[in-house]
Amino acid sequence: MSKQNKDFFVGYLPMPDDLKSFYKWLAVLLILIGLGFSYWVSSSQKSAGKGQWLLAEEKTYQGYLSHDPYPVLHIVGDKPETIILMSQGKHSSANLTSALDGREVTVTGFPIERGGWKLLELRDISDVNVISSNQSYKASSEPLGKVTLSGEIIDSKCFMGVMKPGEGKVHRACAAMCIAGGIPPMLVVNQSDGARYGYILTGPLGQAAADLVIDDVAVPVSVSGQLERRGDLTYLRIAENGVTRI
Amino acid sequence: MSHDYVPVQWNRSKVIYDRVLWLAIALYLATFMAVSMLMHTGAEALSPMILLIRAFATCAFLMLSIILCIGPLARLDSRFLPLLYNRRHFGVSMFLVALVHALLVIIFYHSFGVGNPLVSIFTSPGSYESISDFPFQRFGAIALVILLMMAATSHDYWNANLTAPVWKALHMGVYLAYALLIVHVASGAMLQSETGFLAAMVYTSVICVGGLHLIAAFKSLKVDRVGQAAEWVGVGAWQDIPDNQAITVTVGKDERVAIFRYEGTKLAAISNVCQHQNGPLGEGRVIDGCITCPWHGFQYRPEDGRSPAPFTEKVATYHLKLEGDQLFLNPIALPEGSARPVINIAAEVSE
Ligand code: HEM
Ligand code: FES
Repeated sequence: MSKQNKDFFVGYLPMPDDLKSFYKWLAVLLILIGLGFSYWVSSSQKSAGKGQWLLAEEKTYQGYLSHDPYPVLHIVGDKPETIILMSQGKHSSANLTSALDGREVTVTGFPIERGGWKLLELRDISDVNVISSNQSYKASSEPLGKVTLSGEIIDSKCFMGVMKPGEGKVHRACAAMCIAGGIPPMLVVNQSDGARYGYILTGPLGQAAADLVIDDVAVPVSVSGQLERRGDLTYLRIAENGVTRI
Repeated sequence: MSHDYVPVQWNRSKVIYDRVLWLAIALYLATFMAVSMLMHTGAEALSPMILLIRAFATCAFLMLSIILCIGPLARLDSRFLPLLYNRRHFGVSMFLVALVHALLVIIFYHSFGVGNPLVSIFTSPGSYESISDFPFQRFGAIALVILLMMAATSHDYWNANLTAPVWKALHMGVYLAYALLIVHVASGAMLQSETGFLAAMVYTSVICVGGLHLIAAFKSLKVDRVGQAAEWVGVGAWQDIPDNQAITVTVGKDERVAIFRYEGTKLAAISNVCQHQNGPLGEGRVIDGCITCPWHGFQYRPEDGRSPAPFTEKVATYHLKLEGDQLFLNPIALPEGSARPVINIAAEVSE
């Protein structure tokens, strides 16, 4: 190749020497920029809380099935506890449990735990076994008064540990799909002291609230309605037009 | 250049380029995952899938930003031209990285529920009334489709069959994709991050990409603009053209002509616009007797503006004349590939 090709690069010819050293430095520089940038972006992610999806710790619980309106298991006795039930994916477990409403059963699945909350992910009908078919149980319900609370509507399954983070704008489409599939929607409220409280949302008549909240998930809202306690869970019965954007 | 189209015409430069590129991508992703996993452990660990979604997303965005800087950088400093030479591999790699991001999102956020995952990208809640309500996923999806079309037509086969202007217009879509992605991030993940790192990423990118384009545009405005009329226009003394190089002048409305000097005393004018991807021939060199495009090395003979056999590309040529030392250009373009007398000063002097 001719002498004039000292500094002019032609792709299919050998690279001129002057450019070679330029590119050695540039390659190193670009890789360093990539590494620095990656470190910077990655290290600035926030914690998503202490929720856990215990896929290696299958558990079995015994209690009474109830649909309040979402499927739950009320454990009675000296350590009463209420466990929210759901199926795999973005689906309610109602198709496995609703025929057995009020019965005493054992349920087996993967626990999802965050704070005091306990959820159980069931796989199929073999995870639900009837203990006694004639006993019937109804959890007592205790009204706690009218409230208006500000927070974010999330789907309880992801938020409690399946997706971390399972809240906020990035998680919006997923939350909407979970709630549409029957996963109980919750209002998460941040207290000024940093504590966070969750309220399971139902419609004004105590029915499933998916249709009422689906357009307002994962954005700041205020919700007014009636608080009530069933088992050890707190429900918020949304008033007529009780969800407003803030 | 016309040739049998093979998937990639590999050469040493491309191999090294791709190796460095993929090494950088692998290091980026590995660093991202390692840092997040070391910082958030035990019960506070973030979902690995979400980390992957973010690692691939930010990697693709960084790559796209760098890709968009290469063009103006190469115009400002010819040492960056080799980056441009293989930019399409950079582009296709970026598309693949972005595709992994999108697929992971579709699998984890949009599947395993009621309804079609792809449809749900466009039907999940959102409105255009406020930024916090913007359905940011749709912007990412449209950008991905644009990038897909560009990646699919990136090969020279399409370049030649769609013709350079159509291809170029299609590939300008990258700017639309970039704008859509800025909305995608600004109305999506950026609202979530209280630390502001994503905002800083987007601002830095816009400043670099926008700034470099402005500087490069300003530089090309300064190309000499000579006569409008159909008469001979003076372009200065022939000695001012460095040997084996060109000066570029603009004639008429926006027609650029490259006037080359080669073999010391020969002068020839051809269109500045390379038939391949409209590269600026006037920034090229004469190598082995052929004008060589600075972008991907397509070649044209100064005598008639045609690529040497077996290639068939051709560009418009122009007449030149000499009065003393002063060189004049006839701004009327001759049909592509027209031979016309080349000025040879040595010959004129010896006559
Ligand atoms: C079908 C197409 C796409 C969909 C559905 C989509 C969806 C999403 C979602 C849901 C997030 C939030 C992720 C999270 O943090 O949890 C996100 C973030 C992001 N996306 Fe996309 N995206 C798409 C295409 C793209 C493309 C083509 C790019 C190109 C670079 C891109 C760049 C980004 C960036 C930079 C972020 C911010 C990363 C972060 O979350 O920290 N996206 N996208
Ligand atoms: S533009 Fe590709 S070689 Fe000229």
